[in-house]
Amino acid sequence: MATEVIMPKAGMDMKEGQIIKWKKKEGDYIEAGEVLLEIMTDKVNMEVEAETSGYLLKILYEEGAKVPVITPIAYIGERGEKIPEIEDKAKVTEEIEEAVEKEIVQEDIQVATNVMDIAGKVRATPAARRIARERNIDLTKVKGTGPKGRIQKADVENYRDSIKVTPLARRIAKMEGLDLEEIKGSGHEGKILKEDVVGALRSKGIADYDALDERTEVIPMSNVRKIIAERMTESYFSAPTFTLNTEVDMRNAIKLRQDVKDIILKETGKKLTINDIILLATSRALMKHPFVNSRLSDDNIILHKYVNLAFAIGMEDGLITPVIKDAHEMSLSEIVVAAKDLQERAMKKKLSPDELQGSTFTVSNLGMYGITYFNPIINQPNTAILGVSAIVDKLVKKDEEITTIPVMNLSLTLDHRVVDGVTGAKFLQDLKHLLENPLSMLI
Amino acid sequence: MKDMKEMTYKDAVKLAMCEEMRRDENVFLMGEDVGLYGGAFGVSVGMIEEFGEERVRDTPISEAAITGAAAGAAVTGMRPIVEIMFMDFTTIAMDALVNQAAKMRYMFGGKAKVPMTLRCPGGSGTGAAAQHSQSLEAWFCHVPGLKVVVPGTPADAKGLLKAAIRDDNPVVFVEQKTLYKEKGMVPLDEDFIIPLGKGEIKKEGSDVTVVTYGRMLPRVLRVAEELEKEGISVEVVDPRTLVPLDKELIINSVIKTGRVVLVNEACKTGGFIGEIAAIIAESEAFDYLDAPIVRLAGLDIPIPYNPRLEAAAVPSEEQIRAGIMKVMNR
Repeated sequence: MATEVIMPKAGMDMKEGQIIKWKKKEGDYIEAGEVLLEIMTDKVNMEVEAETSGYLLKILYEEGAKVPVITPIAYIGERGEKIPEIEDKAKVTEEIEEAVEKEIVQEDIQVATNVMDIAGKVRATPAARRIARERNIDLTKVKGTGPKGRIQKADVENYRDSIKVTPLARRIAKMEGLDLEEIKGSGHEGKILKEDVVGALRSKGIADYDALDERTEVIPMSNVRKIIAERMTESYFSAPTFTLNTEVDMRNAIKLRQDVKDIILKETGKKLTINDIILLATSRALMKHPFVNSRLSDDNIILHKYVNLAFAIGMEDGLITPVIKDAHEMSLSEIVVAAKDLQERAMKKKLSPDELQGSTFTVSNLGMYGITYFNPIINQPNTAILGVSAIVDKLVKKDEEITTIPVMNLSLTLDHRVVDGVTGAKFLQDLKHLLENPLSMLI
Repeated sequence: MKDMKEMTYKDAVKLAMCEEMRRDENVFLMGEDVGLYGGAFGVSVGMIEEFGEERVRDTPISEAAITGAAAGAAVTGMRPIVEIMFMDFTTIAMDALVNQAAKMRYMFGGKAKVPMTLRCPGGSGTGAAAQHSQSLEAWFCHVPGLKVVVPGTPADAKGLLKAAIRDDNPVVFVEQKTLYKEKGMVPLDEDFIIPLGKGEIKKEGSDVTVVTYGRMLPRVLRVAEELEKEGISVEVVDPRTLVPLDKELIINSVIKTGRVVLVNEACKTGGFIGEIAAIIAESEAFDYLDAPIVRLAGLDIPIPYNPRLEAAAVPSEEQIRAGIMKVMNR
């Protein structure tokens, strides 16, 4: 029997993967461990290796296809070996499903007339009524499968499961007077998505939700976008937050960069940025303020005695936050190397899911865009996030003279369930001190 | 506890009587041909030899006289067992039973007790025609003051009859003619008593409840075993005593399964399963019913003499099966 190759599930959130490139053609020989294909998950590109040696007998999905996780995508085996007749099976299943669907539809029509035999009365068993009552289900909306269209317990129990629908899809359907039962969901476990409702509207000749006119464009959310949306919404609505701002005199930090950047470049081949110094200072300050470096788990606050420092990288199609593991133990040059490596691979979508997980704190830097103040949203399950703004020259009075100094704004957003203002303020104070006196990081 | 022994329903009834008569000298049996002949169905064969004519009394052919005498004996301190040859003949004993035996304790303000047991074989299936084949248990259930017992197995027959004899109230003990020769394991323990009013789950199940008693019980159990193999899990509930009725057992089973079939041999109209249906509908179980209640009962006709017609007049195993399938929507 040929061995199947499946779409791997790399990470909890992964529901499907896109096949980017097959590295082998049908008929090619492949060794176990050799790269068979490249896929794109929600966040990263991944290479999938063959788990067994043999000939690539059949490729089931072409490049570009999006395939649910754990679905077979190819077969490897001996030459001439039979593979399961996937296509035929699929066809038969489809035919059966079609036939069943037809039957159900016919039954439904019959049912619909039967159920409302007596104006306004529903034929339902006491058990069905009890469950409908408990779950607040309108029995007129439930289709009975019992004799004479009688609604039975199982019908009411299935009804709850039968319509899974996103809030947006529900709203559009309601606005357009569309019966959700008529719509087949294409989402997870048959969940009705906006696209399904829009598709149904289109098929009914109501095209308002399509490309409305040439001046608008409809872009389906990418997986990355959807996950960002989900996480940000969850964070925003679960954590009561507040943001503390402080200004940091960056003269010494800039000087430090000037002093050591050539040495680091020579040693590591990487360019030292101010951001690296901020990451270093943050990891040091966090070790003194465990509550800022914590997470909430039910009724427990979990303090981390290490710093896994995430930093946000904005890319064209979304935001990712790779994690520098054990940043608290790293020297400046080590942080430089780690950050640059993650950054470069992020741009090429070559990060592994593991490198995107397990952060204890996050830094988001918008300084390069000239932003002078902002209000970041916490990267859950972190307790806090640090927003770093641009360094700008600020006029100050010094010895009766007006001069300028480079100043940077730090914005710390905190989860008030875990920490109070003073805790955050003390952390910021320490961080500010470290950045203004970077040599103290040596101590 | 002593051993179990396999014996017939009939022998279990006799064993119960003999044990109680040995235990209590006030217990005695009377009826038509119960003595020398050993009873019309041979239930009391050999008893006259052990207990003598005084305690195993042959009577004139007058059910009214026998039952009246028993009521009188009971109220004066005896514990009579009356055998009425066919349940159909209890109609002649009705005044003594309904107006006297059932009422005395109440009308004497509790000062009188009427510890009598009226045994009578009921049901069709022996080719005895319309006047010797009826199932009249519902008549007695309708009379406050009477207890009504219908055992469906030899063990139940023994345990319940002993309880009936020891009970201080008149008990109508309905034996099943066609079960007399059915065998089963019976506890030999002399203290084996099944309290009146306590039913039994004869077979556990989860999909559908069948409530039945008496002659229909073995039929229902056979069907239930067959259906189990086909993936339908039938719970068989035998109330054993109709008055007092183990309502809780029935209601809980219906709550568990959500579906119920009621089976008895008696005519459908006014039959006791109609009462059970009403009890279920009135109870907590109502909210758990997931299909209309199904009743399977005898036809509303006099029992025919023709054997095929006679058999067709009461629920068959095929009909029981069909009734269960119906309530399952299968």
